[in-house]
Amino acid sequence: MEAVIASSIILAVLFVMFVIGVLAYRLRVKVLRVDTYMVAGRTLGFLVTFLNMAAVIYSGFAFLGAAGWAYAYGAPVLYIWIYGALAYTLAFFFAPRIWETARGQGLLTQSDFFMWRYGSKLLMILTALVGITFNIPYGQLQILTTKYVLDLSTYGALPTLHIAVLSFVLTMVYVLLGGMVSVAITNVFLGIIMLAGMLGGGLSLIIHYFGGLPGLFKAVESVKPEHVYLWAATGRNSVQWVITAAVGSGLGFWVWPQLAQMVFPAKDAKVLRRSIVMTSWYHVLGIIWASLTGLVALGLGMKLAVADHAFLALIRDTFGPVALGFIGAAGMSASLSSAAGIILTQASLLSRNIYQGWIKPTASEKEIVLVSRLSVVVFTLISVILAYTAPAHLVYLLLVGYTGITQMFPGWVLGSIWRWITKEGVLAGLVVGLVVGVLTVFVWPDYLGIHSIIWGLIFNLPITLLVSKLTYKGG
Amino acid sequence: MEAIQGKRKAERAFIAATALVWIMLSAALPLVNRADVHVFGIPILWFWVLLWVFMVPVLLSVAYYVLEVAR
Repeated sequence: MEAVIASSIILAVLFVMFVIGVLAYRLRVKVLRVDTYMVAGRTLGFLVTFLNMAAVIYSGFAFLGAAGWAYAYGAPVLYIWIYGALAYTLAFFFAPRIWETARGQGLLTQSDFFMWRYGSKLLMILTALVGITFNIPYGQLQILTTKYVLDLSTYGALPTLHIAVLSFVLTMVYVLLGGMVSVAITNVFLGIIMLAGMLGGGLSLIIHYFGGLPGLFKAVESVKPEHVYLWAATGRNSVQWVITAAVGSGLGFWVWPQLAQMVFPAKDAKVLRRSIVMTSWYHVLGIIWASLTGLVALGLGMKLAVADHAFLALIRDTFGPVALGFIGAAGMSASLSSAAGIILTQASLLSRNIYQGWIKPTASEKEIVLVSRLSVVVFTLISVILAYTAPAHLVYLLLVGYTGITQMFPGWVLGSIWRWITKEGVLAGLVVGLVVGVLTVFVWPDYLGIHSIIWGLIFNLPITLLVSKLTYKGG
Repeated sequence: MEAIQGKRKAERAFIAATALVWIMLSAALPLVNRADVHVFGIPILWFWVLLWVFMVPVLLSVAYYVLEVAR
């Protein structure tokens, strides 16, 4: 009976999501042009821009993983709180500038910016390939986090991997039909459910068991006193790791191509700025309370086989199947909304920057939309196959993902501010940063307790600046 | 002209405030990384991060109001 109640709520949310996605396409899309498909024709107002951004940013991994980190490591989870906050301050000043450029120049993807700014086809193709490749495991990961949510929420009564794949495919049906319009409007619904789940679930657990934060920390200190501060000399329990991980991830946050693409659909710069302010509120009202549930599990002395189960296991044991259904639906919403943004961005990069930009520059609008839709099908199939086969080497792509993507920071952010940054500088910095990043992920992992993102940037930034100074010809 | 200058001044002030937030949430962490000090019953490291992380949306809301609404 409990499984039926929780599963019904989750399936109802899935159904409503699908209906909204398809209806958004039927009612809102009059003529499907390339800019309608990829950036909703730059027509989105405040509420849709804000919740679309939030829903894509906070994935299923963030929903469950942050609590898992708090449960397993304690204080290092603070890096997740910090980097989000830092990233919003950066976006407040930087994103409207990029938006103005995108509107003025008709840019639809992040790689369009690299083509326009540096006049380099090589950089455009390279950044598109980096964006597509590093996002492949993230698509698969969203299916697997949906499965984890279903594992707990359905009390093991249903074939969860098949249902996770089905929910992913349903999501991709409306992505394929309506592109950004369907993704954004559906994400309004999913974004609200996610916030209610994170804030409501997190706060109610803390108050129910400990009456507030002081009681929670008192309990944690009695069970695991080393979890309340950063005790290690090196590694992820050290203070220098948390600082470098937070600063590096804060810098890299808006370099992810799917986040760049969530900036473009805003109808004006003011709407975008207001959306960023509200997303920073979403951060402090959402992820912080979700992650603290890991400490609740710790303070209660729960023994969990999988740390990432902390949030949902607590909800299940404390409030029963109805609450579990709602929080499970929120976790599933987080996974599927991010997956929609990721797959649409991959399809846009492939059709706009690889197909039109490289293979067939004379392609018509209709043809590019068709290639985009075919790409959605291809990337969906890749994610589904990977979810069933789960090849171990994909973990390496995940590990190096943030470090690799962040190496585009000088070209993306600094290049939008300083005219003298050149394509030679960006290319040289990018290649060296990627090599150093890979070495400090796999050969000397986070050497000296400093995160590999920062190691990559330590080499990337001076090389970008130096080579740019040497090759800048003015004008 | 005065309005543009005023906006630039405000923007510079908010960029400085943002820089302060970055410093407090990174360089200042070693100073508050202690298990023995508590503020309002919360370990100081967690209190410090909570304080400054909550400061970000407040700061950005004020900046938005000053830069976009009240001009």
